[in-house]
Amino acid sequence: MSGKRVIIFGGDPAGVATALEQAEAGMQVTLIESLPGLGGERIPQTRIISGENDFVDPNLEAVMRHPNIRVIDSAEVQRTEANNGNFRLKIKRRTPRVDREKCDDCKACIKVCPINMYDDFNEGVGFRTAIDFFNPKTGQYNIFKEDMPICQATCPANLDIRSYVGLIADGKYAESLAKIRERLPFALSIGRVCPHPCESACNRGYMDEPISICTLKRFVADWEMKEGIKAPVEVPDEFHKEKVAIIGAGPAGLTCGYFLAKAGYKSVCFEALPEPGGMFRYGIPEYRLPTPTLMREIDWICSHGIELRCNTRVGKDISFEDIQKQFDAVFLGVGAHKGMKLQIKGEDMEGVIDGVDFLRDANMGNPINAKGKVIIIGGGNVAMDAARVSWREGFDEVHVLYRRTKKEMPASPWEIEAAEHEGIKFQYLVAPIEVVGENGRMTGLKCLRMQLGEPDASGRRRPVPIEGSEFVVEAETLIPAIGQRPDLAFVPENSGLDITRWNTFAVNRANYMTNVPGIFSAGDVETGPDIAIRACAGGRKAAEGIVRYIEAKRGK
Amino acid sequence: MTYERKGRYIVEFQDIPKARQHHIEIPVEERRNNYNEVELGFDEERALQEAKRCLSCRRCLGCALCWAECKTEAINFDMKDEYFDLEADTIIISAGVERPIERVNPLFGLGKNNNIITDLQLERMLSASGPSAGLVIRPHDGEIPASIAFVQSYASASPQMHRAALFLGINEAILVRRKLPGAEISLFGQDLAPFLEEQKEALKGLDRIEIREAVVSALTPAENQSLQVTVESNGTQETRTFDLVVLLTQPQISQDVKNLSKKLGLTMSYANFLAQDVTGLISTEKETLKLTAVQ
Ligand SMILES: Cc1cc2nc3c(=O)[nH]c(=O)nc-3n(C[C@H](O)[C@H](O)[C@H](O)COP(=O)(O)OP(=O)(O)OC[C@H]3O[C@@H](n4cnc5c(N)ncnc54)[C@H](O)[C@@H]3O)c2cc1C
Ligand code: SF4
Ligand code: SF4
Ligand code: SF4
Repeated sequence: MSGKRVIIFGGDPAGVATALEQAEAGMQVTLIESLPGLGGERIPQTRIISGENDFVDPNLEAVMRHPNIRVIDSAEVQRTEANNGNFRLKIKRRTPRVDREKCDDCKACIKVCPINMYDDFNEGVGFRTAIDFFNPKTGQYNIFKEDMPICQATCPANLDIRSYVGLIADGKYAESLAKIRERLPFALSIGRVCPHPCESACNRGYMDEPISICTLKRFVADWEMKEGIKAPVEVPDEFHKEKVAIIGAGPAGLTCGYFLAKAGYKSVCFEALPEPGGMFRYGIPEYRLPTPTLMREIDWICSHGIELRCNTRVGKDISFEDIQKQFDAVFLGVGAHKGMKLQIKGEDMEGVIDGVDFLRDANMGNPINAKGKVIIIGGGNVAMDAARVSWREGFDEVHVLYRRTKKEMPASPWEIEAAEHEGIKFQYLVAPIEVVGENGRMTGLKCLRMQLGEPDASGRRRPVPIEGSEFVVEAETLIPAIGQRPDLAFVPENSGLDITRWNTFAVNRANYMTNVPGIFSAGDVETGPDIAIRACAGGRKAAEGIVRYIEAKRGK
Repeated sequence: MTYERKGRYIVEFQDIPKARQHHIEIPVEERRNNYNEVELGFDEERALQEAKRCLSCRRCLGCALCWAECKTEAINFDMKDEYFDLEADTIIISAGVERPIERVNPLFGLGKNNNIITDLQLERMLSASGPSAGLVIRPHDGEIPASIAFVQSYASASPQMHRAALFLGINEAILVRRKLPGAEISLFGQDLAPFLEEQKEALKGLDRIEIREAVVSALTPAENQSLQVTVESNGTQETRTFDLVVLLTQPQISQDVKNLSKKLGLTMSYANFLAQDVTGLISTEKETLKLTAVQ
């Protein structure tokens, strides 16, 4: 074949016209367009129109007929290489899922498709279905199936939000809940406490405000509870003989057990504290997640085939080695419960209690000496919880001190706002330097004022002390809430488990297995302190990894 | 139009914009010295309202309803992506037009009022193959607007981009005039003199289209979802009401083309494609790479 090879990018009128010109001149033309079809009329933007040539409308028929032109639409350039003035390209063409040879343009498919979304090809004017023909003149149909919508892709557990929200819109609440439970057993709890990263990504946010995804999830779960409907328990008729040990009855451990049971494996869950739930039970306060609600959910989850052994601390009441011997696989979901120290003088005085310990006491109903003024240190959600719990416990004054400004505070904005509403006082740009007191009991906190300097590694501006700005705040109680770490004291020296410098377990994210075969881990002890839905997501993926592991071992 | 079915996953046009529903909360006074649950979630009415706001983004669910319906068995979910290895002696790039709405000053309220649209949206409406089959309508109620304002939505742009934006806006005004002979049509923009001078001849026959050097300082909702447009020019301020407002946006080179040219080692701006009065191919710093001028 004679003629040089020309590749043209862009199926707009200019690209199409050039393709025709080049082809007429004898070139071998490939026209590449990223949209599923060519063309579309355009209004000129280089001249004032005058009658006949109002729209530039590419001559698609001529393009389609021309023997020297090949069109690749729905295309994506994967690789380009240039050498000696030649180009080599690798192009991917997304499948249209409609055979254009067979399709007779009857539109029957469009009439039944339940999807109704903004017509992106028409700049959001009107709607279209999931079957589109962006240029009706070409009648080229195309079904665009992406892995998941942005909300689902953003959700750590990849919940099928679009489906469960759509089912609510249809009034099909039970179906909606079933959809959620395909990937998450904790609808009641997560529906109350999730900081919903999905909502920040929601496309509706570009139009006005994002969908209230989290509260909708809560709505269907509440609906089942309020209507007194017994949540369905669906497990295989027979369980396999292998058993799995789960250490820690938090969101990660219980989710793991739930999905193991669904796959036909029973588990035994060892929990150090008197009741299951982990931070759901002993961290997050009652007013955000009431215990009866949580327990309803946990009872239901365990009824799938998890045997709970509470008040059993691994490393104390039973050894890790014994568990390893007795079970076919072990899941470690012990969370991150050890509060970080402020590293200042006087920190061990009476009156100082770590945020996580304080919240656990409150959640257990232990007596709290809530008199006078309390200072909470930190700007995260744990600090907000500690402040709001202190206020409920009856302290006269609740102060939160934070080293940076409100803008840098990592707590969720709605939590900060709720705390402000409840009358909690915030002092920004203040850092503690010493707990002061008498006879081992604290009476106040010495602080420094700060100002913001250069941004640090996290991109936030680093607070730097203002010299000579020392002052003392009088207070009876101090609650540092500046972060937690996992407590891995239960792991024997010779376990061989890889432990990172953040005191977490390192796993292979493909199956959540640690470096020791048969031992899996997820949740806060794997990620470091994080949010519950990520712990649940990890628990589910670990369950899948455990099932594959056991099956491979059995096959041998 | 094919979008007449109602039912699952349907957002009514009147439902946009519609505010997010808020959960029910107990008052602050009822929270002290107890652990009563603070947030009470949605009641059924709020839940339904909120769920109906979801746009059900991103395409096919895989429900196969279409497949069952298709008589010619054209629909095939197993159809695979295809890969092509291509070689070429020359590459030609055509710009494509992108007018990102992020560049529109948020003060203009795009997305807050249905009757504020962009020039690109109007272009789709004006197209006979577009969503309204060539009819110019108010998105809010589907009525034919009696008055339309074109408003420049950006503060400054390169002269070429400004020029391209004005061409599009004025051409649209001309097309609207032909469809709606009785409508009042105005265009408010800045820095118009050079353009008007250059296009003096072409603009001669303009049929009752007001083109005015002015800054629009506010767009506020008026009765019936029309808009009050506050216009400032020559130190005077004036408020007029329009049924439909069209925002003139800045053209920009599309992200796809930017990425592509980066891979090919080209530096590019939209102005390349608008190179004055060129038709046909534009050379680049690389001999075997060319651009086609925007038409
Ligand atoms: C105060 C607070 C508020 C929070 N608020 C939110 C929120 O609003 N939204 C959100 O999404 N996330 C929140 N989180 C984070 C969330 O609770 C955690 O990410 C999540 O609970 C982690 O789950 P997990 O299963 O990994 O660990 P955990 O929930 O910590 O559970 C671990 C369990 O293992 C047990 N255990 C530990 N060691 C042993 C041992 N040796 N033997 C036996 N059992 C052991 C523990 O007692 C515990 O029950 C909050 C956390 C805290 C501390
Ligand atoms: S295109 Fe997808 S969502 Fe629409 S009917 Fe077909 S399978 Fe269902
Ligand atoms: S509108 Fe929001 S919640 Fe609904 S599918 Fe789109 S991104 Fe998800
Ligand atoms: S228009 Fe849809 S239903 Fe009709 S033949 Fe084509 S793919 Fe099948």
